[in-house]
Amino acid sequence: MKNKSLFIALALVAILGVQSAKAWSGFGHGAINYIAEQHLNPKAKAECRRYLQHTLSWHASWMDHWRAVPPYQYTNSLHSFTATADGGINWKSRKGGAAGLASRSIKKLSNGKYKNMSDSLVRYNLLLIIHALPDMHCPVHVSFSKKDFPEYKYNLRKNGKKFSRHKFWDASPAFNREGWTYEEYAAYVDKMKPKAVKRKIIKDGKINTWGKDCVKQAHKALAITTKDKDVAELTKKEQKAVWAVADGQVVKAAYRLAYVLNEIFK
Amino acid sequence: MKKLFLIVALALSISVANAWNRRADEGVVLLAEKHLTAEAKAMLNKYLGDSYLDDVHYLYDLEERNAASYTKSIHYLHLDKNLQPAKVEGNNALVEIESAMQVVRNHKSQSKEVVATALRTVINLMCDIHNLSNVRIEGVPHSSLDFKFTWYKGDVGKRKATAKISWAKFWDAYSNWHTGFSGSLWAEDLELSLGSKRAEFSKGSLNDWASEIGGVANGLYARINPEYEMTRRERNELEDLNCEMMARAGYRLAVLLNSAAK
Repeated sequence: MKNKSLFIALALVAILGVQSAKAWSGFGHGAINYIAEQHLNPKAKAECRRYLQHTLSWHASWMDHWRAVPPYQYTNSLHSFTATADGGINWKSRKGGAAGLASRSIKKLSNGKYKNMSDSLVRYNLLLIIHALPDMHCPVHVSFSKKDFPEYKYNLRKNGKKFSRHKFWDASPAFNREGWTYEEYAAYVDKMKPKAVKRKIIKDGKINTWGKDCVKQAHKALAITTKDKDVAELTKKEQKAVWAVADGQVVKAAYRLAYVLNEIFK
Repeated sequence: MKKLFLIVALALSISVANAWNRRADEGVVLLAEKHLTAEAKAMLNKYLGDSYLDDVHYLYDLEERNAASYTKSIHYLHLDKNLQPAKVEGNNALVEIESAMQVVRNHKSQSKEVVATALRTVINLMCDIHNLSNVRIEGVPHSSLDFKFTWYKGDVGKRKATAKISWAKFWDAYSNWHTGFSGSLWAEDLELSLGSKRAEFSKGSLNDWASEIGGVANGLYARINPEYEMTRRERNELEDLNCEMMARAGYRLAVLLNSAAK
């Protein structure tokens, strides 16, 4: 009996001592906002910090934390956008979803209009922009209609078990990069020269153009992680392809976010 | 059977000593560093060298290596019913900080290794006492347990589901919400968001700070207990308090080190 009690006690100790796994929590959002902040001009950086009272990356996951809290629950369906059959933003679906949300907030603040708004309203619109614009760049935050793309309804596998494709791509910037800081990640991916950024990433500076690009990248992502692909057994070539899309979308979102904020506060 | 309960109780009490994650604690130290005098910086450099950030979890690292298991019980801030520091011999972070600070104040007459250990202890425990999960108050039984309570993942819609979380993990989780933050980004952010409160946070003595931390924790313990159901809104809003506690720890660590280096 004595030994049995000791065994139970030790078993309890072992169970209680186990630490729960620390889930990835917004690494992509934080990294995008960190990189964007490095590309803000001094005025835009100062204005963002004045309104937000934190770094951009601290607020990066704001919309995820508040999506099911009144009165912000309306944002719950605005973390993604639907693609049209010809590869653009479907503005009729959820008023453009994340693209629409970002677009409307940018419009509200642009052309000096922010100067006539209350600080809290400017802050709120900034919070929406810094989350929604990055969200639309995440490959699995581009929704494809079942009618146009029936082949896109599938899951992946991880170690043989069913695994969410959404979960995989949401976490893709941190894929096999455990413990990286935003600074480390930025040093690795943020390498484009300003002229190239303007020509290749910003282009005409329009959400519609960026949306089309995001749709293309989403197709590319889904072509890498095809149905039932086991993500624990990706080849080196496949891992590289995942990072190419994930990192590419992170820096595009960051440069575009910086462009938007610089324009708002110019 | 009594022995069984004792083992489990002991396991409960020693397994929950809690900290923010290592990078958040590095942020606290780097925040302090921004406000160190030249003498204090020189003192830190002399005894800990350039790599002092490696030691922010000094006591936890010792414990992991089983090099000093006795330290497992010293991470807590014990307060009496009046929120005054309860001097529990060998079982109180405040007692340990005070005794380590004595060594630091007399650093010139101490061996390098002893001063280094004292500095590492002060750094580790100043972070710990500001982590609200480590505050234990006489007459508040659940403050001495790593109790679990319910929280709502969302307050409305499909996300309105509940989960259980322990008091320790609850506070730890905030630093993990910012998973890619380095220590220097934490310090930058804390200074940006709470720099205007530095003078307010820095006022007083170690005992005053302990009572103030106790007051904050006591207010929370009055409603947050094993039966409590926390809304998502409240959880989100309490993050600001967590940041305040980190900033308090950083600014106060600077005060202690500056005073010792004089």
